[in-house]
Amino acid sequence: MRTHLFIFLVLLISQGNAQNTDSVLYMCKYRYSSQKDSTNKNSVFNDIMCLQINKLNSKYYSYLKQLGMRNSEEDNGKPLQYLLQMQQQGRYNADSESEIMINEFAQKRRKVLIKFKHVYCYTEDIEAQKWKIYPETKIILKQTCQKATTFYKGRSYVAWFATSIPYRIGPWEFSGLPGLILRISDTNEQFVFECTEIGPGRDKIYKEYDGCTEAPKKKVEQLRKLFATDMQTFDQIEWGASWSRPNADGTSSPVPRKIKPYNPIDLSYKLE
Amino acid sequence: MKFILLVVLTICANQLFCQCIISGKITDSLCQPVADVNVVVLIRGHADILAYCITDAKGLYELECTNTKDSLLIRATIIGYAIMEKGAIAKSQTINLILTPQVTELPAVEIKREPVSKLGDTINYHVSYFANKQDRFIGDVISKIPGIDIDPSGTVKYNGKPINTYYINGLNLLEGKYSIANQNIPYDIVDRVQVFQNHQPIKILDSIENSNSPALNIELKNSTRNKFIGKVKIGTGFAPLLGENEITGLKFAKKMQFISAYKYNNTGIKFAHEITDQVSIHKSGETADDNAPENLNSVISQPQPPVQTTRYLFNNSHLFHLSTLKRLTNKAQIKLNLSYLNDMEETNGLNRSTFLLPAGNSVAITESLKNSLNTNKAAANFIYELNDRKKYLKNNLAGQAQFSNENGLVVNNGNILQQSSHPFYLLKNDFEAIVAIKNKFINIHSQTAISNDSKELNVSPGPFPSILNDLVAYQKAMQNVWIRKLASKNGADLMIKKHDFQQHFSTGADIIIKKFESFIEKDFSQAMSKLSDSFRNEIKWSNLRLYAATSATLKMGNTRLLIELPVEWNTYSYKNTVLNFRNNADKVYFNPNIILIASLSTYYTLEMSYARQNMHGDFLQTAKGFVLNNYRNISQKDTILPFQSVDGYQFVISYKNPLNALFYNVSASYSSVEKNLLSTQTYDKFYIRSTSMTFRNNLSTLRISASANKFFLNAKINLFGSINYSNSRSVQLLNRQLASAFSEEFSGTCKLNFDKFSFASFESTSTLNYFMSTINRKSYAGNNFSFFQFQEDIKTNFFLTKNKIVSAVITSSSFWDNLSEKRNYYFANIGFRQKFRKIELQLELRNITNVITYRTAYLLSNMQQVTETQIRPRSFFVQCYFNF
Repeated sequence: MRTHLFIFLVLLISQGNAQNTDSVLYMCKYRYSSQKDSTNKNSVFNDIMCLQINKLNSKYYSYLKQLGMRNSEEDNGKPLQYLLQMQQQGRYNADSESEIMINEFAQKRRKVLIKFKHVYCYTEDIEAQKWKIYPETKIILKQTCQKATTFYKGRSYVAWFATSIPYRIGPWEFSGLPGLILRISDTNEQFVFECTEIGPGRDKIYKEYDGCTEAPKKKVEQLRKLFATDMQTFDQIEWGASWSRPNADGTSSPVPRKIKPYNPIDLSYKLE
Repeated sequence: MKFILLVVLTICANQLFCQCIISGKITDSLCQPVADVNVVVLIRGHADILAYCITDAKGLYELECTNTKDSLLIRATIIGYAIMEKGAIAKSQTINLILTPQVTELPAVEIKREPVSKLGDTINYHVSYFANKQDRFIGDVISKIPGIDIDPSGTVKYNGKPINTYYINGLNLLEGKYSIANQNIPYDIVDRVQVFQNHQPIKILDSIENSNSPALNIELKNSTRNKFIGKVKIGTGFAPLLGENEITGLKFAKKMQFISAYKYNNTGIKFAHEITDQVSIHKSGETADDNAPENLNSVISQPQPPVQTTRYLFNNSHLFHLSTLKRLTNKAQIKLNLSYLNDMEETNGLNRSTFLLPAGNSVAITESLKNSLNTNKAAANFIYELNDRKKYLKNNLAGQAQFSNENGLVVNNGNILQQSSHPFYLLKNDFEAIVAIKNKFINIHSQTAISNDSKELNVSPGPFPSILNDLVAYQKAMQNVWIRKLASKNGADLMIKKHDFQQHFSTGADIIIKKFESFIEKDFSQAMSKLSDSFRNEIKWSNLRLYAATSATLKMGNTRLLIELPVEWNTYSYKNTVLNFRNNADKVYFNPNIILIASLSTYYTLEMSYARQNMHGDFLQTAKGFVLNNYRNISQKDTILPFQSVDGYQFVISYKNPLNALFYNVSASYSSVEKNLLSTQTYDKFYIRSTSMTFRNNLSTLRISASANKFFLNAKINLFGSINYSNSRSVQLLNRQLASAFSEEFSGTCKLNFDKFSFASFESTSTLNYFMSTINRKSYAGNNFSFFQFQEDIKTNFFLTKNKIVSAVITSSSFWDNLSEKRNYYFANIGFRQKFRKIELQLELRNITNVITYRTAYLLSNMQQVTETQIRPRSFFVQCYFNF
């Protein structure tokens, strides 16, 4: 009887564990500085990115965006004036990165979700970079990190990885080194990912998008570029209308939208 | 020949660039292949990797490395298995490895954070960055945070503005008594201090009523949540026998918070500040003194010198407080705050008071004082609060009972004994409810307070024999005073917001009834007798106030304009039973208020305001019967109702860049008070008779202040500087002559904190004060009082090891005036702290220089008071701290 009870308990525990495959094992937060305008060194935008390593996958997303989403849900139903005021104060982190990357380790596939008005998603193979390792080391967050370099999607990168944390991934699409990447930047320092916190997973992703429209990566990249450079066309595609203001003669003219600089981390589409 | 050359070159090349290939299979202890294992090859004894690869699904790996004479190390790592290392030599070979399952311990959380970060309107200050080893409580750290200043009364200000709420983990446990948190919560359990720059504490009003007041939240470390934290301090020393003991219990859970402490000391630490309600928390229009005890008659006592109380205060104080908060299932909170203070204070000193008179002469009184004050004060608050985005409901029931006894021995022309007893009771209920109906908000509020304040003052031998006993000396005078108050303030507000326009209507009725009774008894020839009706008051005073107000807030871009137009009708009724005199008056007041707030840029804010306030003056000014205020002051006021109108102008420009840790502000204010009663003083030897007469007079005050704070985050240098200037002009009737009084005051403060070094910290505060007061300045040039005071406080700590600190506190103080020579004082304390595993021991030698008396001065209108206070003698003290 005792043996049966023991087996039953073991099965029950293993059932419980089996259900818990998505539990966060480890977490790394990066300070992500990106230069929005390649010609202007002062056009740096800062975000906090979270790399959440689970048992079967890893998730990479903007921590600030998630915080903004939570705030936005909390404020749901409040007057528009208030919402606009809060947005101006940065409570919703509207400018933070909306992309969520999910790396499926077993399938060696990556699912990318990005939200404009609609949520788009696409899947691609995980492409580990070819790294060159150097003997230089430096200490980051008390971990000895070794230098490695690579050329990826049109930019040269210098990475510092910690073999003491044997996860072969890093921020964004970086992977393949025999330890977690704690710092990586392109050689022009236009894109810098610097780890500020490592440890057992505490902060779960607040909300993944409910459902998405499958779209080729190229379309997503085009939308991203339009969002930065041509809001009129972007509004037309995403919202089915462009913002316009009525003229005195009864006609309407488009509301001029601010042209933002565009400096994507991924230059492979530019290179094509 | 070519073939031979090719063979030779090939051999040479092989020799030079020989590649070795190390391959193998990695399996677990059950011989199952392990995929995705990181396999790296290193030179033995070095950390850097020569080559790496990962195992495939069959557990196979292959590494290519250049030939080397050094011995190599093959290391295989994967989560869930122990690290496997195997030595190898640099030649092609097969090395199979077997991994043992083991829980992989990854590096613990290490956080490298910016000391200051901004998220929307919230500024986060990471406590670990601003704290140093010598700090104990969160208040020690908060005072070092850029932009934040804690003034001597305990009020926390952010860029010069008092905070409106103090949260602990987002919950307002202590309401206005937040000094309890600052002085009891250990800094090392706090993760970060957050400043909400524009905080509206009532959630339902978040979207309608913009607040530009800051609030503070202390966010505790996750590891300390839900845990009970107990702290004990035991201290003893000599001479005389000294003691400082404390026991504190804290718990902060998601649904319950609790702080309680019992403290005792006889070393000069004043506990009263800890349980003081901070004025800034009070609602607009309400002052902290609304329900405070009156101080109509008192024992002449020594003013507090501007040095730490531990330098001069001889005391014996016990304090107990308990604050607890419980969140109910409907998200409402109930809070209970209890406090009890038993305080015995003794002061000894010498006073020389000089009164300037219009004729150019002056009256001087010299007194040697020996006072003891015993206070018992119990206070309780019970609060129910529901504060969510749909409704707001708060009821605060507060009670206070206070008994104080004071004895004073004055030696001037003889020995004068003063005795006073002062019981005071207050019961108060505050209710407020806000509901939203569509886009309108309705606020209903009601406050009821009842208080009983009585005071008895005995003076022997009897003072003012000319007034009180027909010029004949007598044994004792006894002044009895009772003041009973009932106030009920009820109103309703309607708030509407449409786009950038916000409208606020309010209406209500306040009724205040006060009853004042007083009489004087004298002991003459061993017989107690009550004095005639000239020395008796029995006044019933009431004020019914009906008001209606409308205010509009218009937002134009980054500019906000607030216009308040309140109209109130007041009916006053005054009845003096002793004189059988009744007086009624009706007054309609229009008290407009205009505020303009403009955000000039991200960092600059401009605020301008004008307010007119018509109000009644202090009803005690209607007491026609004599009241003995102290042994040398007797007053007799007018019977007409006192009124005053105040015009106030204010201008503030502030700069705030929290991420750069740079703050500064400049403010100027001017107020003009027009009164219908003029207070008068008549001096006769050391007796002063105060009266009042109907005479329109004006008091104007100008204040200019500026402060700047820069924290150099990398260098950990905090610099703070402030200057304040004020002057006031008034008219006084002194010895039956009309005189214009002018006084001015300047103070400058400079603080420097340097915390960069791991072996030492340094803190310096320099203060310069200048005071000047004159009567009829134009007619009698030189007929004035002025004095300077300069004080320098230096605190240094040397961290000998991680657990050993040597500290030194040095205060140098200088005082000089236009009548006497400069006096310099040097105070010094030296201490040593050693932390053992669970106990911390602190040894301290206080007042090393053994200063015996301290001299300083105060100016009040036409009076200069120079005091010499007795200083606590040199003492040695041992303290022990531990947690449980």
